[in-house]
Amino acid sequence: MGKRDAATRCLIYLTLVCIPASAQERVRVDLRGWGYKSPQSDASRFQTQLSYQIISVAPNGEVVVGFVTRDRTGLATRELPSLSLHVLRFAKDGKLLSQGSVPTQNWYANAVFYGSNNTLLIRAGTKLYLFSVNMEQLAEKELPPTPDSGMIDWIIRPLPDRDAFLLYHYRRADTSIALLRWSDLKPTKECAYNPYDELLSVSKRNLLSFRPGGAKDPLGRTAEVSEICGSSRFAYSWRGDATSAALLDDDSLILAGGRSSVSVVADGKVRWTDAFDRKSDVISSHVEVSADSQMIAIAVEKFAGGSQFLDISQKLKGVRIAVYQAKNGKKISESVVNPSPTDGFDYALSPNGDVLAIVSDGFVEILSLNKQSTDLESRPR
Amino acid sequence: MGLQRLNRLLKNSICAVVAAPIDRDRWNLAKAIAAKNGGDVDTIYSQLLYVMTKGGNADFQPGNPQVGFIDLSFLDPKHDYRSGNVHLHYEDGLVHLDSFNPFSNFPIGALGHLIVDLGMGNINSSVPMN
Repeated sequence: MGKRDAATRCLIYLTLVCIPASAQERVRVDLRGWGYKSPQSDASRFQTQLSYQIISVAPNGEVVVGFVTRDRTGLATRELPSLSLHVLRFAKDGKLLSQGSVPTQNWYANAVFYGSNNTLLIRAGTKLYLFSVNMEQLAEKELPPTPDSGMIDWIIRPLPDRDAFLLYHYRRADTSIALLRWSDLKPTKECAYNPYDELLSVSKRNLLSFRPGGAKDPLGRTAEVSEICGSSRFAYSWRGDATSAALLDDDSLILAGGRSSVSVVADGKVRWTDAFDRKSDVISSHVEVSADSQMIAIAVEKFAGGSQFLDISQKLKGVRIAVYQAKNGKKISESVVNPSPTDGFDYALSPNGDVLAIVSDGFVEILSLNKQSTDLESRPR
Repeated sequence: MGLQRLNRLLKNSICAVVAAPIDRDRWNLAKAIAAKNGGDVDTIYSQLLYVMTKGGNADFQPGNPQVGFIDLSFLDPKHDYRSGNVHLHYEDGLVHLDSFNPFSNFPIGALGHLIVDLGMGNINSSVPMN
């Protein structure tokens, strides 16, 4: 009887020990085993640092990730550039499912997205491809550069349900946006877009245009929400602090970027704010929103050193990803990015917010999130 | 409540005083970036977001960093992410215009940067805006 009691206690103890560990499963993949190489030159490293939209998560937790390597030496041509965008698809447990590569002209004008119907949308320099998940090409579209634009010419903004995406095209006074079907890359809507606005985010029906304050109000910021190729619905203005905004859904905004706090705004009122260390933490402008608008993820960068008087930058000491329940600001996860990024870095949530994928310097981490987790203290105000 | 109102009033007054030099810096930076990447000055100006004044420089976010609306790939990482007098603080993603590039015309650039940019500051260095 005594032995049975001891065994039961041992079992209960093991269960208690194991529960917190299983609340957030973490799978790590080293992309060097699949051809990843850190950029060799300072210039290519800098351009890799400018890249974004290089990881995406499917509803079933599969992860697609992209990275660029220099695969060819000698004379590069438009048809055969020296760089390749490698695209790899992993199961939730880190097992490689498929891989492929497409030529690209530069280190950063690339993107990978998981579609709703088992397709991959891949931007590689001046081309946009639609692939099956097994990397069979289904469609392609040219993205010709705007000569001497000085701006990023093409930007992709997928709609939450991933059956369509917005394609922004900067062409000075002829700047436009188009809503394209994911299934065949054909446009269903097309309209002019103000070249002075920044298209930052899109929801099911609306898009968010961001604009800095004018000459008399340098700290002013405005986010205007309008229907896609339609009329303005509402605008929200604020001063200082957040340097970016994203749509949580058709009616709510997330303010983040540049400073140490993140806020959710609905009906013109701040619903909750979470503040980090004002002296050292900076929240990145990139906010990930799950397709069901239930979860949001932000990157918190920790800086140290530097000199305010001598204008010497602080050094990045680390990055962590915080995930919140959008409606109440309850933090359900905070994960340290390992390694701390020096080359390419990005993160993405699955459509229902139960998987977070992070890529940093050739390492992918896939985290299963417990959406109801209560093991972290939430600090909404 | 009264203190908050006073604080807001003070902040607005400071901002009104420094708005003109900040805007001048914004135009100058837009022109300097356009000269390097061939872009349209008005478009670049419109997307430079003032963030703070630090060490005598008005620091701007060059479009949303995660979007990179302004193409800054012309900057030289070997020269501390500079080109001409445009200087990107890579770590925090903010960009400003120096009076001298310490990497050009040695030792004039280095001395000028030390005296003008670090010592005197470009604008309103006494006003901590962040």
